[in-house]
Order: sequence, then structure tokens, then C-alpha cells
Amino acid sequence: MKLSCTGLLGILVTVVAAILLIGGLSSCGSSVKGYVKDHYDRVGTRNGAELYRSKDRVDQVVKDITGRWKPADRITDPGGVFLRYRDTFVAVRPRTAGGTDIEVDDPDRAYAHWYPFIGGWFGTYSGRGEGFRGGGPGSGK
Amino acid sequence: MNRAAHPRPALAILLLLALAAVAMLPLPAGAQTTPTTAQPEVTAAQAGAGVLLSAEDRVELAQALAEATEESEICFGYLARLNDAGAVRQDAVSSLGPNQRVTTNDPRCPKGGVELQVDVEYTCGSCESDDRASWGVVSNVGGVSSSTIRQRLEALTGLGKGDLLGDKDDQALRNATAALPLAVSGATVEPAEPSNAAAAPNGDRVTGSPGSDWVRENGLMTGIGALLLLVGLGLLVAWWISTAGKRRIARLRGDEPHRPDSSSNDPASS
Repeated sequence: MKLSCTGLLGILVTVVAAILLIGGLSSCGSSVKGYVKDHYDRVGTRNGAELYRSKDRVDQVVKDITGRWKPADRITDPGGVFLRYRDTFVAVRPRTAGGTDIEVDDPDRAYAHWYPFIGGWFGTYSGRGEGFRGGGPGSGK
Repeated sequence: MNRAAHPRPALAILLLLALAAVAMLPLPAGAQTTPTTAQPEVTAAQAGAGVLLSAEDRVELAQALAEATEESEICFGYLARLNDAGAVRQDAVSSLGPNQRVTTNDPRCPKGGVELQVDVEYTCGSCESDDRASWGVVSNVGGVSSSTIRQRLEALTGLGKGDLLGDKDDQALRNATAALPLAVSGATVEPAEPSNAAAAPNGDRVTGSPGSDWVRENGLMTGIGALLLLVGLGLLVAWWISTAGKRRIARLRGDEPHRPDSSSNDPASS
């Protein structure tokens, strides 16, 4: 049976499709929480949040995490970067002694803990007594 | 004994004690030897809205940058220029306050300054060209180049040109400016500290529901893969049908020798 151009193209496209599907489906069941757990040193818990540590700079850690798991939203402050995912909140902060602290938390609890920094950007905000200042992802300006 | 001579040492001691006490007192902000960005409180109404940021966000950003400057002695800020179909406006926010640019050789910025410069151009509705945005970093801080700061800003914020044209252009500008202290080597910044509060005040809560993290990360690749799989299988089916049809035609024409059925009793094969 001779292989025509159509057949060759069909095989090629199917192989490429299989590679893409395997690549995409291989991460089924994993999460940003698992990525942080696998790549950084766990140092304990604080207020229910998991604490991890890295020797890298904040920008490198943020690049690594967001490069693997794109956040739904993020807020940057001179004191840290806050990443919002569906069921997880990640706070990445510089350490005074060098390196980076990574805190993985539940979004609702994290909203209370980091309210002065993310209030109004990831939810409702009345901190300054000026009423509502925002929404969540998709809520617009 | 001369009584008038006695008070002199006592007065001298009192004077010395008074001087020592004064020296131990904190100096007023204006007299501190360490450079500071202490600035008068600026209200949102005084600051006014910027080309992308609201007045409240500009004041809040200036305060956050001022705190970073107190730690690092480096000034941070942005300059945003907006060309709205020919009408050009610009605004600036820095550690020195709303409507103040980071300036070089400013005594309030002893270790230099870093400025994020953003250009946004909205074309008219009937124009053929698309809206455009660009950004860059200008720095005179020693030990780190502007290009390195830019790369770090991209890593920290994911800032792309499209972000400055979208619905969240204000958040993109705010994020990039607030990230400047984190992008500068040697800039000692106070890490953000969480509170121990169990709930946000006044019943405030997180809102909105982000979509699936997996779909956001892998949805496009998997979708393209599934589409390509359909196309590839379609091509293979088309090729198989085409080949089978040609063979059938050839068999009918007698071009292709008929293969004997292996189950048949062919004397030659036995």
C-alpha cells in the first residue's frame, strides 16, 4: 500500500496532535499548590497557611511559578507579589536576609490576612471608608 | 568664698545635661540627617485622576512608593503619556508624591531613581491602525541596568503591551510601578506582613470565581491538540477511502491480479 501525500500529512498531524494532547493532559490532577510543594523547601505553617522558602530572588520565584501555572489575577506591592488561583492564593515576599518566602493559602483566609494589600483588587473593600473599590477577576475596573 | 563662683560648674553641668537630652530626642522630620521622602498628606481630590489610574489609587501608590524609598533611599515612580486620537495627556506618580516625577540628583533620592515610562496611543474609531502601547524603564541606580530592571518587571508582573490597552490597564500600570522596588538589586524593602485576622473587616470578602487553573494553563494547547487530532484522523480516513477506492477500481479493471483466498482449495498451493 503506497502512502500518498494525504496519508503522510494525516500521520504527521495526528502525531503532532498526540504530542500536544499528551503534554496538556499530563498535568491533569496537578496544581500550583503541588508545584510549590515540589520545588521549594517547606518551613512550616502560619495562621493555617503553608510556608515555603527559596534562595532565589522574588522575581525569579514569581517567574517560575507563573511560568508553570498562570494566575487568574495578581497584585504587586513593594513588599511582595500576590497570585490568585481558583482555589489557592500564593503570596511571594522578599526575605530581609535574602531569598524569598512563599505562602500558600486558601483564598478566603488569605483575603483576611493580606487585606491591606489585596483588598479591593480581589474582592470588596471598605478599608478606607470609601466603599466598594473593585471586584474580582472579570469584574472590570 | 565667692558665692558667685559656685553656680558656674552647676550651670555648666545642667547645660551639658540639657544638650545631651536634646540630642537623644528624635529630630523633627525636616531636620533629620537621613534623607526622607516625608511629604504632606495629599488627598485624592488634590491629586486628581491620572490618564489610567484613579485619584485614590494614585495617592495610595505614592504612599507605598514613599515607604519603599524610606527603606532603600531610591525613588520610584511612573510617567504615563496618553495620546487619545491626537489629544495628548500625561501624568506622573512617584515616591515624592502624586504629580511629581522621579528626578535625577534629587537629595531626597540619594541612591538614585527608577522611572517606569508608559506610552499609550488610542486611535480614532474610524482609523485603520490599531491602538498601541509601549513601556520602558529609565534608571540611574548603580549596580543594575535599566534592561535588567525591565526583565525583572516582566517576571514580577507579566506586563505585556496588551495589558496597557485592556480593561485592567490601571491594574497593569499600578502593578508594574509598585514592583519597581522588588526589581532593583540591593533595594532593601520591607516585606509585606500578613495580619492574624480571621476575617476581612466590615464583612469584606473575596469576590469572583476564577476559571479552572488547568484550563487556563493547558486549555489552549489541549484544544489545538484535539482539533489537530480530528484533522489528522480525517486526513487518514480520506486517504484510506481514496486508496481503497483506487484498488477496487483497479481490481474491476483487471489491472490488479486477484489474490487467491488462502482458505480455498487451490491445487497449486497444496
